[in-house]
Amino acid sequence: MKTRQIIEGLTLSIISLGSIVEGVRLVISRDPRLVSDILGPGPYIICLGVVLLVATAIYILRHNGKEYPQHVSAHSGRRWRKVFNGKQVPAIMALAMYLILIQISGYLISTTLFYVVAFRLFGVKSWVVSTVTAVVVAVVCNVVFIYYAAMVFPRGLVWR
Amino acid sequence: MDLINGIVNVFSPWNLFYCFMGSVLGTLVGVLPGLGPASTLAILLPITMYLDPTGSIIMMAGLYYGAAYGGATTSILVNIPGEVSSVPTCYDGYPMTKDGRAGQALWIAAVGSFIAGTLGAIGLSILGPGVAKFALRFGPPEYFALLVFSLTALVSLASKSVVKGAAVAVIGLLLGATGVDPMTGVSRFNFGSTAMMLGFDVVPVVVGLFGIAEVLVNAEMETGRVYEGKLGKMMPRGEELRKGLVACLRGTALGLPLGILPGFAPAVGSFLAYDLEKRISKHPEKFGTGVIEGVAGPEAANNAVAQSGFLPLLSLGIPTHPSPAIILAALIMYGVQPGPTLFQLHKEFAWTVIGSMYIGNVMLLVLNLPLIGLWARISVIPYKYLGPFILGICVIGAYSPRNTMFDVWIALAAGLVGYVMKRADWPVAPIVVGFILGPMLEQALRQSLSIGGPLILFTRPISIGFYILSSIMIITTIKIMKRAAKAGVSPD
Repeated sequence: MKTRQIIEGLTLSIISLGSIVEGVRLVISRDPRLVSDILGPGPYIICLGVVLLVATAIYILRHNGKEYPQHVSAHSGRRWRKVFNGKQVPAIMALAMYLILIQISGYLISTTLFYVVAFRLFGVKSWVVSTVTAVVVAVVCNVVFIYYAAMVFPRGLVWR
Repeated sequence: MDLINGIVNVFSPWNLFYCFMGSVLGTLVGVLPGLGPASTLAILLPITMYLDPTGSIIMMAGLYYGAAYGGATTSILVNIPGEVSSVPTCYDGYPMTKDGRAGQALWIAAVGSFIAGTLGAIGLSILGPGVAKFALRFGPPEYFALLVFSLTALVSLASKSVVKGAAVAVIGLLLGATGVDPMTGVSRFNFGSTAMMLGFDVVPVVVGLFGIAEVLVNAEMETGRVYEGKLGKMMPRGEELRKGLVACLRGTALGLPLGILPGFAPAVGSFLAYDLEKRISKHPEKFGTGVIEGVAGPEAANNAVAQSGFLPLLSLGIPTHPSPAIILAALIMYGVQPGPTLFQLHKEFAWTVIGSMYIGNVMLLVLNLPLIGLWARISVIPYKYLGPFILGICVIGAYSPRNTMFDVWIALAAGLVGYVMKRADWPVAPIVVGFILGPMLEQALRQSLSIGGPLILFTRPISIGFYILSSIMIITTIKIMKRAAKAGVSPD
């Protein structure tokens, strides 16, 4: 069994066991006056958790000890290791920083900065081109969504 | 009469505008590799909240079936499919271009798409109200069985592995069960957080799983190349025209019934149509060298599948794959419950949307023939500009429904999860469909149990029919998987 399948199996097990625990909590704390609703909010969650647990067990058993040739396996170990190579991690980090920055510097400034960084990350070589494009896109977004569509983004500490 | 009224309604300036916008966006999505209809619908979903419900659904429907038109352009001209459903079009479309017959390939693709789209709309107009009327007999047990069948079919057909599909669908159902239980008012999976008490909104989840994840997957994409050659004469003539049109009709006949079944994405229809054309041809060895049937059949089939998907969506409230699931989410957001009562409670809305499909198909034909050169140029917009722009729009899209940054973080998390799932070959579609259908499934189940206990689920004839169909679907898929495993292919 490969590391990847162990991680997948563990993730599914945690989700299913978590669901069962939540379902049990709901059953224990169930209002005794709810007699008409047989399934209630808890047993439904327990049922789903059990189904997921069974599916997880089948998945683990099916892959246990099985090795597929590299050329036919849909996801070899080498491919799995490549999941976070390249531009993905920086893009996710930039997006996360952008979400934090929106609450500090407001929509316009944070969006401009995000686009400058994102254009660079995605392959725009020139700083001038990425900055000018970022300013134009951010201003257009600001006009369309904040002014025209009247969306209320969190007010920044520095700027709206 | 209702249909005529619907078509007349489409001719109001705003409805025509939305129909046109849907057609333009659909074609754009089709020609741009790395931007699928589901991700674009997900990005547009929150923005359409500010629009008129009828206009929004007209636009979203136009975008969905329009994408099936546009996908052919880059497949034929530069051998890069804009959509997965256009992959078979490359096999003979690109050789036709190299042969100086690009115009003919584009013409038959557009006309084939138009024939399939229009016949699909006619089928929907005829069968839609009938199916909805039949479905009025459905009580909670029948509806529960129908939902089980839809989920089973999607899990079986949309995933390469039944176990993976089932696990992901259950996770979708669990996500749909977060927040306050509408029947008892008890909060589930809130982990002490007030934000979690509201549960997950469909928009950030869909925006993340399709929009953000798609951008991350395509982050390394290179820019395409522009087609600089000549298109040649557009309309095929004589035997070539006859063969092309007959293949269009065959593709349509194959795609229309497939599209009604949950799990049959347009891509499945186009691959099957290509295979069918090759099998019945007197010269199968010529396929791959520029045979017009190899373009006509798949293009007609993928449009037919896309168009006929609206029948179960509007008549039963059942999405057949992710794009209709997002349209279903939009309908629910507008307070329009698709299903048996749609043609009674929202008659004008239903017929206007159906009427728009006739107009939309004409618009798409016009957009895709004379303006083909323009689309070919647009298809090479560098992803280094498009990707960041989509990410920015995703943030706005996730924020707008409830005006909370919590939803944007959920979208980012969903994007990360969606990206990892796509890379690890786990199906994303069942999670979304499970999430959207989950609350309906739970409600139908709990209502059924309240009416007559567990036995009521297995004693109604219609319910039994759906359970039998579900079993057949699972058994067939498992058999296919086993055969694949024997052939040395991973079950995943």
